[in-house]
Amino acid sequence: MLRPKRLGIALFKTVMVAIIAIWSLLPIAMIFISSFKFDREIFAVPFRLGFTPTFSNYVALWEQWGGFFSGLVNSLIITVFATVLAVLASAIAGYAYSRNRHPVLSSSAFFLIFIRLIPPIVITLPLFPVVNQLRLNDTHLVLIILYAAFFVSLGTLVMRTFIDQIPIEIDEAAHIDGASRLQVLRRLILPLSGQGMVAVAVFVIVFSWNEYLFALIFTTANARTAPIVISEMIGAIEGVQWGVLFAATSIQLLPVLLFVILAQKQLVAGLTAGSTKG
Amino acid sequence: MASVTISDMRKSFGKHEVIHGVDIKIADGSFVALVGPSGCGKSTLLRMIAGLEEISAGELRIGERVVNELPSKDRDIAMVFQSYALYPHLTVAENMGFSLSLKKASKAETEERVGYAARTLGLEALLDRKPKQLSGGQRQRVAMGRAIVRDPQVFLFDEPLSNLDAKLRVQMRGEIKALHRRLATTTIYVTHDQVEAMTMADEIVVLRDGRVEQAGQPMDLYDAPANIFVAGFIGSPAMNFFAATIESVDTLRLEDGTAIPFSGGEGLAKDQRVSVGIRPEHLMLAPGGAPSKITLVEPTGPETLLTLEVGHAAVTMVSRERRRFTEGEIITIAPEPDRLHLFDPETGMRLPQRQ
Repeated sequence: MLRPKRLGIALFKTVMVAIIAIWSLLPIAMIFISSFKFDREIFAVPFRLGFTPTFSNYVALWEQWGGFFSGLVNSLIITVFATVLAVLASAIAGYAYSRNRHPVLSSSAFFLIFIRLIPPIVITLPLFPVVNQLRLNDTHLVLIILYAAFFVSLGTLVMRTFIDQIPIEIDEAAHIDGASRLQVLRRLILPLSGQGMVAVAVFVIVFSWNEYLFALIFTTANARTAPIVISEMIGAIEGVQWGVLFAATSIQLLPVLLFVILAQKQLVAGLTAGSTKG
Repeated sequence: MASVTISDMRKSFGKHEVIHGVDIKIADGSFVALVGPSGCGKSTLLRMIAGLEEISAGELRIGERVVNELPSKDRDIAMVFQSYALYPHLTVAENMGFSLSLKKASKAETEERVGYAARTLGLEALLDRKPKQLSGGQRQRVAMGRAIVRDPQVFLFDEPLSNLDAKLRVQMRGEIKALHRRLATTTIYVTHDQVEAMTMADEIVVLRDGRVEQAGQPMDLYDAPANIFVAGFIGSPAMNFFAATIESVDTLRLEDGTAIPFSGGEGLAKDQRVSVGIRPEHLMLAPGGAPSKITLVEPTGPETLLTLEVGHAAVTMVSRERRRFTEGEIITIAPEPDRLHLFDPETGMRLPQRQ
């Protein structure tokens, strides 16, 4: 039997958790549910849970906004390659930071944190003529490079912390066994820091999948990503079709949500690396 | 197999020199222990031999080859780490065969050599396990197996038994020694435990502060330590030291006035001041000896460890007499006359004695 005071604390905690959960999940739930409603029902007051679900919004999305699906494909290509690039670069850099001590490395580690503090818009505008000059405008490559570059700094720090936990004797034993640095990285460090790589991947995937600013500036037609198409839906001349918009948003949301749920365990381990002794 | 020759080898970290010109010759096929207190440079020295630390100055030869500039993998050595340093994501078989897989050895060769190592160490049943499913002693064996598979010229051991419990340590001590006898590979073994060094090695090198204090066979170090440091380091419990003067060829007088008979004092000047070292096991009960008060009795079974108060000095004695000692009791003791060690109190060096 809980004493009244403890009971009070437990109750308080439960209520707080409930409030936070509702606060963050309710809008998402409303969008998801609304995507199965007819337009006239969406904004009916009071909000009704009981209704006849319809797929008409999804059908309309397919018929009227084909660009959204090619946007999804673009998003997918850019996200996958940006993630692979960022994770690999972070792992290699993290290994270098973890295993070498040098004043230049220490100060560049500070630089890694520092550049994270600069607002993205500050680098976006000067990049525009550069990208134009390189004829990279409206290509997948420009966004892949930008998104990956954006996360290499944070990713490197995460990977460094993670690789720091792998005892250096393992490297040394492997060197004596005849391994080169590259072999140590490929055969020991990478397999042993999988959780760190998942953590970095989650950051890059969530960011790349949802990013708007760079995509808006650097793409026009060929490499347009899904978020850009969604924003176009809001600005459509014949008025916003909310149901269709919500259908698109729900589809956009789903892959990242699934991925984060699947990677949850690895993610927690990766983010808390170094906080406790293994 | 090969000999290892270390000539005037030095190591500096920045301006700070930690190994000050070490010379060691290790014969082909021998088992040499590097011992010393922590911070004496023994592990650094081993890591220099392994190629894990750069050699700042001097020369290192394995066989006839100067290997100063060679990377670890080209030195043809194998090393067993204190932490074992097994690859956690690989099975026992993969751990042992890692070096072969790097060389892209054939499957048949890998199986044969890993199999041989596993049979040698009794690991056949564990080949498919991961390191975390093994006990400390088993991990230790896998680390040794990884070294055996490479069939190197030299085995290096860095405090390999420190993480094991006392009983297992004694068992593994025997196994490593037996393994060396079977493979006859030149072995360099670092330990802070002088008992390990005494029991396992053909030759012991005692290090202190980056210098060799003495190198020699275990019993030579025990019987004729070159200086006070080695005398105090080798042997357990540690040697007792007293300040004394030479009274005659066969008599010493301690500071508190006790006269001690000894032999082998020819060549020492009368009234010369000396430090006398007496091992606890060379003190015996003697009627007419120095009266001593027992302050602590520690029976171990075969022998009894006594802490005594002689004058104002605390003295350790090991007695094999089957008799009851009680704390506070007064006994009379004397050293075996031909088992005294005399040192120069200024330099700490051993004084010449006729044995």
